Amino acid sequence: MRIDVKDIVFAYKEKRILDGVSFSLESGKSYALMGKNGSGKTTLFKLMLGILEAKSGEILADGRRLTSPDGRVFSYIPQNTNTLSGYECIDVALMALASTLPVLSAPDKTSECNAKKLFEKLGIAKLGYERIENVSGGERALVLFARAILQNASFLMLDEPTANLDYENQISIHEKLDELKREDKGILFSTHNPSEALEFADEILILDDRKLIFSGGREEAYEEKVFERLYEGKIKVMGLNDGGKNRYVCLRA
Amino acid sequence: MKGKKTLMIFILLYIAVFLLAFSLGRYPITPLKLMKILFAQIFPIECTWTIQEETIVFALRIPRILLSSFVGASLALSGLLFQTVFQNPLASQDVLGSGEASAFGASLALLLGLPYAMVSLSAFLFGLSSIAIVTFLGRKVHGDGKVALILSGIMVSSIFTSLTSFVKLVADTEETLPEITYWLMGSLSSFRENDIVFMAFILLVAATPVVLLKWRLNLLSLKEEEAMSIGVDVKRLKTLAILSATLLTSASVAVSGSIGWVGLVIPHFTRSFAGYDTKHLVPLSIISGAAFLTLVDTISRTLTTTEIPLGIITSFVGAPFFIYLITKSRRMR
Repeated sequence: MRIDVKDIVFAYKEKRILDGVSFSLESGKSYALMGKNGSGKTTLFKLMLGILEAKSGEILADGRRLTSPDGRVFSYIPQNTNTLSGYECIDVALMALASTLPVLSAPDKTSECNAKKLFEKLGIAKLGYERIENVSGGERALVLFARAILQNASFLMLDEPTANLDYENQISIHEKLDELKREDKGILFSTHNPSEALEFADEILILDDRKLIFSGGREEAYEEKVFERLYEGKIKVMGLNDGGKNRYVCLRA
Repeated sequence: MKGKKTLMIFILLYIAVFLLAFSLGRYPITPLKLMKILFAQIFPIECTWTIQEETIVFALRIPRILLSSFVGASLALSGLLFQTVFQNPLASQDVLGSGEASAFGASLALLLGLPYAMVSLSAFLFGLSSIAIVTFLGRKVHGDGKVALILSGIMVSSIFTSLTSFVKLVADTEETLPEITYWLMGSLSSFRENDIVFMAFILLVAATPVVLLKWRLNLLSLKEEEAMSIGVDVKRLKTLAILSATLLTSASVAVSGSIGWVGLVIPHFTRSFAGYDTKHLVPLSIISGAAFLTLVDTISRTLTTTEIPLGIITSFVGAPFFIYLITKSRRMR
């Protein structure tokens, strides 16, 4: 599947948040969305999901204009994982099936079994019948990650997915994302960490001052010094040769 | 404990209450005698009971138990729906003011001497308008949305209580005022046959879509944006739930008067057994609401020589439970 975001303009009251943003996404690839706080990353996610309506511009999925939420195209993990309470984690994950099940149906034993297997795969099997409000922020993020996977959409969008996770879980999430990528899913995640973007994304998108100022591969981002420009020289990105593979580290300038 | 096992236990509980309701009262009918009277309608069984007992079963007990079951189920289900839609464990027809608004609508219709159907319609329209006002005001108040909703509900409830008091003030003291006053306390003692048909019809119309969509109702617990991010637009589901809940509340108020606390207490009671999944909560709330009000009605007609209004007994149970909820408020996020 291919997503085309074309010339999106969005304003909240009189304030323009996004001004003529255009880019394309392809399934089977991962994209990191970066930008300073308040640069419109979450707004862009919400526009793509159909939660917000753009002032002008359009979002196309394989040429079809998206006008309302479509659970088959996008699944989403919000930044704030402190959502509902009272439910068992497995029930929270199974809610993802609402977009694909017939209106009058409920998840059956097979669906519950599949959800349990996924929990095992994500290393959160013990959380299945725990109440969501009793688990840690990082574990909640993994439960919502399971929900997004169960939704089986073509693109997975994650708003700062690793913000609440320890380093082991950060790696684990990205390994799962790589697996999904191999299954031809498209991944778009936002992050404030240039190292994470350079390590895990195939392409990087950078929002600044209402516009998309960069869209391209990591080598290009490194060579064009886009991060140095974004953070006004306060950081520097260093390239490493790790057994013939180019890798990048972000340091304070 | 959740699922089919809990459902079976609740059904057995309802059957026990059903039989108890026959066994108690001025003219007790034992379960065995009841079975014989019922089966005699289909099979040829030797008659070991009096005509009077048969009349009590068919003309008094069965209609009354059916009505208390329908009203109890309606109040419990509408309470569950309000709590789910407003994502607020304190929401119920009493707290949101729809019970008081429906009561005002019905008493106004009684004051004006309007026909029976208009009493129900008036109760429904005022109940619906109170939900609209409370929702609107709840959004306007800054800060904690859950508290804002409750405060708006208290305010709207207070206005409709005052309006009902005004209706009582201007009502004819000989005929209309006693009728309104007794009816406001909640009672099933002066029901008509039409009430049962009416409540059965409303329960069928309002509860059927809710039962069919019982799992999907879980999505109302999500923030609207989160539900949309799963690819589901919950606006229509929310509207359906509010309309069903208001219809169930106003029909109950029109038939039995104002019976508080059922809508608040029963959903919490069922949650303590079956968790938050509406797939389980919807049928369990219907059954336990029916059992609870049938039990309350049985107590009301057997405890003293005169019937105690149902609202008084439900308050005795509901108020302590409400305090329990407040003291356990950490769980009620």
